Amino acid sequence: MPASAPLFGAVLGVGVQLYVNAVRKLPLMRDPWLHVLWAGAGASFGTWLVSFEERTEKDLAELLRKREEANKHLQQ
Amino acid sequence: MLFLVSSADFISLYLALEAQSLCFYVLAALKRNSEFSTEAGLKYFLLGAFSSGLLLFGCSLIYGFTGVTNFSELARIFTGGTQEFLVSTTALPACELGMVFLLVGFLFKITAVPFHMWSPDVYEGAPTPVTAFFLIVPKAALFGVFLRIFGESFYDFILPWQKILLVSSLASMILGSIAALSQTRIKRLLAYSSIGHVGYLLAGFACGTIEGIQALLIYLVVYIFMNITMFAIILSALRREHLQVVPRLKYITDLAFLAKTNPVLALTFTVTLFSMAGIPPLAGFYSKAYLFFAALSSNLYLVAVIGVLCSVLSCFYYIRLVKIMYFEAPKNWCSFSRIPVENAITLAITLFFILFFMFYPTPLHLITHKIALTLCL
Amino acid sequence: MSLISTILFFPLFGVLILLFVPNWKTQLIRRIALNTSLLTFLISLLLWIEFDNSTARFQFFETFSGLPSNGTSIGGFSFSGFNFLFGIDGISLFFIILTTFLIPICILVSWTSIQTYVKEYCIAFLVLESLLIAVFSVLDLLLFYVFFESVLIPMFIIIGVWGSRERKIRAAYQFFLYTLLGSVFMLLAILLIYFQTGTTDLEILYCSNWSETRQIFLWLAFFASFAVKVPMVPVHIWLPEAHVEAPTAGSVILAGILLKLGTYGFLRFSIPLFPFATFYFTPLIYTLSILAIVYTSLTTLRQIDLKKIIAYSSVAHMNFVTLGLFSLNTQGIEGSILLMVSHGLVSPALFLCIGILYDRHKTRLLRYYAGCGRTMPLFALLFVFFTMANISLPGTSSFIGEFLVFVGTYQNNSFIAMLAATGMVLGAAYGLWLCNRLVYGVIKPHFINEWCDITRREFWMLLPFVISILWIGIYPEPFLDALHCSVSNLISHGM
Repeated sequence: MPASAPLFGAVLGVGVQLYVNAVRKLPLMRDPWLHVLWAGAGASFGTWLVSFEERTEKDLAELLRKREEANKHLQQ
Repeated sequence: MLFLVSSADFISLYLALEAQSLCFYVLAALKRNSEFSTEAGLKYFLLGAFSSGLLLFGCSLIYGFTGVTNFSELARIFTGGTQEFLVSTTALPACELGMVFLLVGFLFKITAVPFHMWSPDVYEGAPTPVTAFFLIVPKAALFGVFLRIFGESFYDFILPWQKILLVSSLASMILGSIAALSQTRIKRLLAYSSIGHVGYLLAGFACGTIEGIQALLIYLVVYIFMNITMFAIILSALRREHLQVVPRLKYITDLAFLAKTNPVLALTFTVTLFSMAGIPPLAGFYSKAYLFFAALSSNLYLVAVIGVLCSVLSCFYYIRLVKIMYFEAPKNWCSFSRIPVENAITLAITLFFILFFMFYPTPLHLITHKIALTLCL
Repeated sequence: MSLISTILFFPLFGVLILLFVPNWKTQLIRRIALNTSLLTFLISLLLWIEFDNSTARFQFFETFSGLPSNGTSIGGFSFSGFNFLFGIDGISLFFIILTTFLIPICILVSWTSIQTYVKEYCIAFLVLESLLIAVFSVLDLLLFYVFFESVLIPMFIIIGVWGSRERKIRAAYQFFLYTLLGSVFMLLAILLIYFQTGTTDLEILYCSNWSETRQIFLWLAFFASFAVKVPMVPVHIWLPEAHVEAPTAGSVILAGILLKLGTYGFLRFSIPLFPFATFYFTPLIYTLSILAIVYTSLTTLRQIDLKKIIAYSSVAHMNFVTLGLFSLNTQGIEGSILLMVSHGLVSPALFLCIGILYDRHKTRLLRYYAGCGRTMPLFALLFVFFTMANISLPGTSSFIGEFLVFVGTYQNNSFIAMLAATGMVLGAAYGLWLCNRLVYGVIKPHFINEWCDITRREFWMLLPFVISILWIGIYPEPFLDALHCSVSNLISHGM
């Protein structure tokens, strides 16, 4: 997943532009430079999402640990 | 709205709420040459002001009997050592009464039953982009702030407010699904279906556990995306009439031309409707399943059963829209006009979210867990 | 990539290719769809060849570890996401092969009769194929539910868009809502199981125990969902409607596979997970099955629509299957699985024959057809053969299935077996009567004007059915061998 996140994002980005063209009833590959733009946007979104997930997971583990410690005296 | 969510005190809550509501009243009456719109704005203003008054009364009761308006101070009072002090005076029932008024004001604003009467009229009369705004923003903002109030300050009063919220949620779910069955206009249909969705959200709220709050937040996010898609489609179904482009999608039978002129848009609409009905493997199913899981784990069995039954009922009218789109012949001439690019981009992003959320729900899961924990800690 | 994921994703790969083919190239679209489904069938035959008959473990086991299935932990409960686990044992093997066998036939059947929205039609069937293969091979309770329900969407679209009459929308609605209503109770039960045991992984759940009252509730919730799919009386009403209104290929896949989803659910989930409740509710199932068998067989005798006759006979056959399933001994369960497979071959074949008639004359009413044997001899031969198979003539596969079912049921409860045998007689009654009225008799020239016999495409569609029915009927050993280990594991585990 970490390696393929930008790939997934790029595929999704191209998909977005294809969809935009399809729903506007234009030929699918009109404005091909926009496809590249969206691929890049999608790839960056993919990497950001994966890093966001890791950061949130670390924060969450931190919060849960503090919670465990605070409740420790109740569990005796 | 941002002030509202970050408020930590009743006074700032009320100020932000009123400021936000004033803007909403004006927005509802935006189309100045339409009676519908003016009527909607007036209705919203009268009822909104009334409910804000009730909210203020609740706040003042609580201030009167406890002397503080700050949420964290209230939390300390209600759970800390001064509990005996409250019980020995007559303060405790009065605080409950204040909390009930607070709840009433809250339920008004998010159009829950039995305070929902204004919403179909207002949502229908307001201009369509404004309706989209109404469906999404107040609910998100108010749920945010009231999660904090009830999760932090009033948590000890959970027995009364859980009961009230459960009743409201059950009634909203049932009313939302039954009343929408007979609607013929799209915006009213969406208003009633949003009342149903609010019922589900309140059920998650009423659980009172971290999973409940998490389920509520996930459902809220998915609800926002689904509504954005719906309104993007409704706003894009433009038609050319008398040399000008007119958005003319008022009645549900107007949808009949959609499948013939723009099959991709019709397909998107179908996917969104199935997601709202809670059919796997779309995002709406995941959020509903997690909500029922949270309800079951808090032993709210009746809510879960009625929830699933209402979701089947609501499926009926969503599928009726699909049927009208695909299987009915349009009544007058169809013409079509190209969708603006911004609508198309919005549609693309939200559609892909609905389609692919099931395969990668983890980030949303994690962030809502974090939010739930920070609200309760 | 392992075998199961190949079979799962191959139809989706075909869908991807089809998305880029322009709408007007219908012949190319049909060829691509047909080739994709045929290749999937050949790959699934590999599954059978490489299947190990001597173990009841799940084979070709596979997880998609790339997908994030980690979740959050809250105290003791962690929502571990979806475990994308796939595996096959003896019970699911034949359903997967049946699915991949039927879908090319479906695409062939609509070669000339579907002219509108051909691309969407083929895409719908390929997506349906993927979902069905996923249903039969997934080893996770929640995912089974997800795929179980997702099957509804393509079927709704197929019945609604390409059905034949105005009533099709009502039929599609009924199909969708009946099934959905039953299934939401199953969703609640699954969530309850997840809450109690903390996992939805099937292999772990097989080893867990529930208290007896809880088992009864959970079993009933699962029953609500599977009973609608089987279909059992009194929730069987959607089936004749859906069959009559669906296009021929839709009927084929409905009768061939979708009905098996309910009994597969019983076999895979209700019986192993809740053994006490299974014992407790066996009388209920027996009563409902016998009711259904006798009632629907009698109802068939008064039908005038060809498809409705076969649809009601499908109901009767599927209730034979549940009868055998709940006899809870080896012969009963093996017989019911074999009967499921055989019914999955015979009923689609009969629907295909009716579709052939419908393509020519655009009517399904029995009054207008008589004496087809004189003008369409090859068709008459095949139709009589399939009717004999429907009646469970010895030598055909349904005989093996029904015989084993009777043996199993007799060991359990001889009165029920006796009543079921009367169902067999009634089956012969409607089958022979249908056959007589259709194939023999005096030709009605004022109704029937086209006399051409079956074409080469239709013949090649029907021939595989003949071969498989005869093969299972005369030499069922390979099939029974593959089933045996898993079934005995099922029985010994539960009791």
